[in-house]
Amino acid sequence: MRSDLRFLIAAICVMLAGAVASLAVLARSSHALSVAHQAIADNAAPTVVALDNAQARLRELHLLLLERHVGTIGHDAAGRASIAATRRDLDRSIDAYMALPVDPGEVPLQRAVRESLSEVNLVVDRSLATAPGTAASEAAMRRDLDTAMARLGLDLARASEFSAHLAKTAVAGVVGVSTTMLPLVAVIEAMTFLAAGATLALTYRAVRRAEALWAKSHAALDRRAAELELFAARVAHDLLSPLMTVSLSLELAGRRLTEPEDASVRQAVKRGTRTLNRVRRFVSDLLEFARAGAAPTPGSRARVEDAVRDIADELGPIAQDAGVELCVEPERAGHLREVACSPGVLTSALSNLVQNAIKYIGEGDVRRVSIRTADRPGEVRVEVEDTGPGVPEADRDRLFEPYARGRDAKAPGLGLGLATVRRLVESHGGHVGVEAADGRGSVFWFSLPTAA
Amino acid sequence: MADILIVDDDDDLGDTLALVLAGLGHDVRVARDGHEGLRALGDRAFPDVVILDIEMPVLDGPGMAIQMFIQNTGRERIPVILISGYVDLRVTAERVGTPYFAPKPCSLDTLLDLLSRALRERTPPSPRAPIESAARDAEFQSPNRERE
Repeated sequence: MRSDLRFLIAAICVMLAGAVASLAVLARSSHALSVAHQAIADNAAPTVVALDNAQARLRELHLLLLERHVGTIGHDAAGRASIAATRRDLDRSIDAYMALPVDPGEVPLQRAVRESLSEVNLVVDRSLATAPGTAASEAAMRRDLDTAMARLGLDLARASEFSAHLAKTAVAGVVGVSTTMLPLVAVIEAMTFLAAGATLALTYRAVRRAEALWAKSHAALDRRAAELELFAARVAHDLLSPLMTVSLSLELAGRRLTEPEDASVRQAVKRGTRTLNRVRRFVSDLLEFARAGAAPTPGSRARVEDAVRDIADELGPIAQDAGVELCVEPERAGHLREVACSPGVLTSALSNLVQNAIKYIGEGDVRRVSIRTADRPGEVRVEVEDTGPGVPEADRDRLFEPYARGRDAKAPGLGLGLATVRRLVESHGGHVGVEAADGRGSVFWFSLPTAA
Repeated sequence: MADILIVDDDDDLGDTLALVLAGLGHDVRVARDGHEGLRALGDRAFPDVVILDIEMPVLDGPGMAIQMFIQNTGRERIPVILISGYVDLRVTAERVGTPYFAPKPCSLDTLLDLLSRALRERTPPSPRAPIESAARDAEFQSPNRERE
C-alpha cells in the first residue's frame, strides 16, 4: 500500500514533468519559427520583391533607350518623359531595397548595387545629353550603356540571390529545430503516456482495495450487530421467563405464609421479591442497552406526538408516586413531525430521559419534570427539563458513558439509562446532550433527523 | 371459575402459572407451543381466555392468534392475553389487536388484573396487517426441552 502510494506519486510527477517538458519544447519551436518568420517576412521576401522590381525597371529602361536609339521613340518631350519616369521607378525600387533591414553579408552587395546604379545613371545622362552622332560613337555609346546596365542587373541578381539564400537558411533552421526536437518530444510523450497508464492502474487498484476494506468492515459491523440482536433475543427468551417463574413462586409462597410464626420467612420472601425486582430491572436495562446498538431499520418513522403522549401516560403514575409533577409543554411544530426511527426507539429514548429525571429530582421545593419538543431544520429536538440539583459542567460528558452514576450513587441502577439513550439516538443519526436549565435543574435533550 | 388455556414454551413458567391460577379456583390447561395450543382448543369447549407467549417453536403466539382468527369456528371470539419478553411486545399486541398484554416478568397482581379485565370485557383479538411471525424455529429451542 505504501509502495503503491510512492509509485503513484512518482507517476504523477513524471506526468507533470512531461507536461512541463512538452511546454518547453513547444516554446523553443515556436521561438525558432517566429525568428525564421521574421527573417523571411520582414527581410528576405520584401528584398527579393524590391530587387525583382528593380530588375524589371532596369530592363524597361534598357528597352526604352534601345528604342530611342533605333528611332521607335522620338527624342521629343514625350520620349524623355517616359524615360525619366522609368528612371524614377528604378531609383524608387532600389531605394526600397536599401530601406529594408540589412544583413551583414548584404553590405558589400548593396555597395556594389549603389556603384553600378551611379554608373548607369552617368551613362544614361551622357546618352540623353548627346545628340545622335556617328555610327561609331553611337555604337560605343550603346556598348557603354549595355555594360553598365548588365553590371547593375548582375549586382541586383546577386543581391536577390543572397536574400533568397537567407530565406532558405531560415527555413532550414526551423526544420532543423523540429527534427532534433521530434525524437525528444516522442520520448516525452511516451513517458507521459506510460506514467498516465501507471497512475490509472495504481489509482484503480487503490480504490478497489479501499472498497473491499470498507465492505469487509461494514460486513463485520453488520455481523456484530446481528449477533448482538440474536444474543439479546436469546437472553430475553431464556432469562425473562425464568425470572417470572421465580417471582411467581415467591409471591405464591408469600401469600401462603399467613401464620404469625411465619413472620421471618415472610420477610425473607419479601426481600427475595425485592431483589428479584432489582434483577429484573438490571436485565431490562442490559437488554435495552444491547439492543440500542442495533442497526436502524431503513424507512422506519415515528410520530413525536405519539411518543410524548405514550410516555406521559405510562410514566405519569410513576411520577406521581415519586411526588414529581410530570408535564408536557404546549404543542409546538416539533410535535407534528415524524422522525427517522422506529416508535420503539423514540419511546425508549424519551422514557429513559424522563425516568432519569424523576429518579434524580432531588430534594428541592419544586419537583417538576417537563417534556418539550422543538422543530429544527432537518431534525426534531426533544428536551426533558427537571428542577433537580443540576449537573456540574465537569460531569456532563461522562454522564452518557455506560455505567456512569450521578452524584447520588445510592440510587439503584446499573447506570446504563443515559448510555442507552446515546446509543439509540446516535445509531439513528442523532445527538444527545445535557445543559443547565435557566435557574435550577438540567435539560437533557436528544435530537433525531426528521423522516423523509 | 374461568377456563384458562396457557400457551408457553417455558415448562416451569407454564406449570407455575397453572398452579397459581388453579389455586385461585380456575380451570387451567397448559400447551407448549401454538400448535399444541390449537389442538387444545379443539379438545373440548373453548376456554374463556388464552394466556399466550409470543416466541415459541413450531408455531408462535401471533401465528396461533391468526389461526384462531381465520377459521370461523368461534375461536376468534376468545380474548387473548400476551405475556412475553419479546422486545416489540406493544407493536405485536397492536398487530394481533388485543388490548391485554404485559412484558415478562410481570407481577402476579398485573397478571390477575389483566385476567379480570379480559374475563369482564371479553374483547377478542382483531388482527390488522399481516402478522410477521416471530418464531425462528431453527434458532429457538426452548431451554426446558433439554432436560437433564
